[in-house]
Amino acid sequence: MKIHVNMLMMVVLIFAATVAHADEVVLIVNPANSLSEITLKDVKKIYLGKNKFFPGGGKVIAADQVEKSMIRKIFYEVMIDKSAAKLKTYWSKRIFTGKGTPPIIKKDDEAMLAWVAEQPLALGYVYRKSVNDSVKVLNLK
Amino acid sequence: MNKLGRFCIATLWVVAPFSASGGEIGEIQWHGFLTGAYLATSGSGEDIHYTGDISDNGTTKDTRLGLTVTTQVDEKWRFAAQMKAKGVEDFQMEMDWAYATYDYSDGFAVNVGEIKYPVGLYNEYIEVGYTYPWIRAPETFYNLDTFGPNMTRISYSGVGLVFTSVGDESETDFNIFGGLLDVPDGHVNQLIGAKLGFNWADMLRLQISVTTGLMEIEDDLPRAAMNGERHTSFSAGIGLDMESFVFSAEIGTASMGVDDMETTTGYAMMGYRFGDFMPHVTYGHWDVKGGWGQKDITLGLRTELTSNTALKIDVKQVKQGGKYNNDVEENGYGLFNEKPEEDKVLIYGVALELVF
Repeated sequence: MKIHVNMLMMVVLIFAATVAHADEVVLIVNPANSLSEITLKDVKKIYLGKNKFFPGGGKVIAADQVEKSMIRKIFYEVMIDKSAAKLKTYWSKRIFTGKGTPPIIKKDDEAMLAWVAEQPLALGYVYRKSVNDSVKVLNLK
Repeated sequence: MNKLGRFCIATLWVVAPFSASGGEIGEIQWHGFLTGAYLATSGSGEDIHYTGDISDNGTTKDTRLGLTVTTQVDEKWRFAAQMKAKGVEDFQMEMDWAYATYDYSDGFAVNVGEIKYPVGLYNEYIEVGYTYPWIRAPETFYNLDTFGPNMTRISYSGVGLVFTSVGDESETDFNIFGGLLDVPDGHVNQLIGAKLGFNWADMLRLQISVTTGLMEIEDDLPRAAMNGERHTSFSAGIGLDMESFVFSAEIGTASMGVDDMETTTGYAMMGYRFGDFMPHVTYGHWDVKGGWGQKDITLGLRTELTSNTALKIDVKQVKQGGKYNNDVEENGYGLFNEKPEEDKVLIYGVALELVF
């Protein structure tokens, strides 16, 4: 019984830590983009290549951060709800049938911010603490 | 690869570099896959081959390398092509497919070119062994010989209209396609097909397909009886991939316009993931009205070595003879080219799968 209680406490702590990190990750677009908010479901569809357009129209180009980064791990586990192994199989099926390619890669927050600031079709994510005036933060509905 | 496919590839190489605009539109992406495989029979004899290439001597002919190139030309147009080099073709690099897509919206797209044949749960990515559990997807459904199950093909040249509806957790896709299809020693002309698929949470996949076309088979071959006849097929499949439990099954019927060649086929696979290990078992059958066919059972183990590498071991027992007539001496030997020494033959193999 004691072991079960300890395990439960660990799960709660891990969950709390994950939520805290997730809150620090924000979605960003180019300031010229008229969109100001987006649903989590739309984010998921765009990052899985199922939607190629922003809600309400306009082509979207989504960007990821590098595979082993903590921010990417948080983003996929909390927002997209897919593990790295499942993602690899998922994208293999789309890439090798010509149906789509995964989001492009930016090496860190700095590179992501610079790219989003220049690319009108961009959708990316960074830590909230990195955000500056060159990009617009999307509110999650 | 026909003229349309070559045209698409040529267009890809000409258009892509000039369409670059500093952003990701115009950027060319490369991806690849590699399979290293060894397969052998036990009890068929040295000169008797299963599916034309596996004997007691063993073979590495399933070894293959593939490269896929994609580019987004502008906001609506994209191109994709795949090249492959296979052991069974002496590693000559050739185009697998190449086509252009016009994304009218998230709900409608048009494909034009040499397009992977969209029939069967696994056929569109069948060269990419990393994406499925077995070393080979079940031959009772996926073998391509015109004396085989006749359910699926490599690719078709033509046009596909793809309608997609994406819900919160579900995705429904409807694909109408038509054009020209290559088969061994001939073609299927005036091909028309439709595929309806449904996905739930990337966990459940349901799919049905129908196709029809007119066969043009070269004369003075055993297959000549099919010349000018209508080739039709119907198939249905279910795939389930939960955290641990994996299941897939497909059934199909095909007609080659000759009574004796009407076939029914199917398989069912069940697996369970224990961490990085997934043992699985598959039962397959293929029955032709003329009497030939086979039944097989495959036991396999897939092991994830890294996030993009898997090791597979399969052992399959093939029993020759279909349900309509089990007189193997009289009616053929399943997917063997001649009667093996044993009625039940083991086929075993090992493969390393990689995507990059």
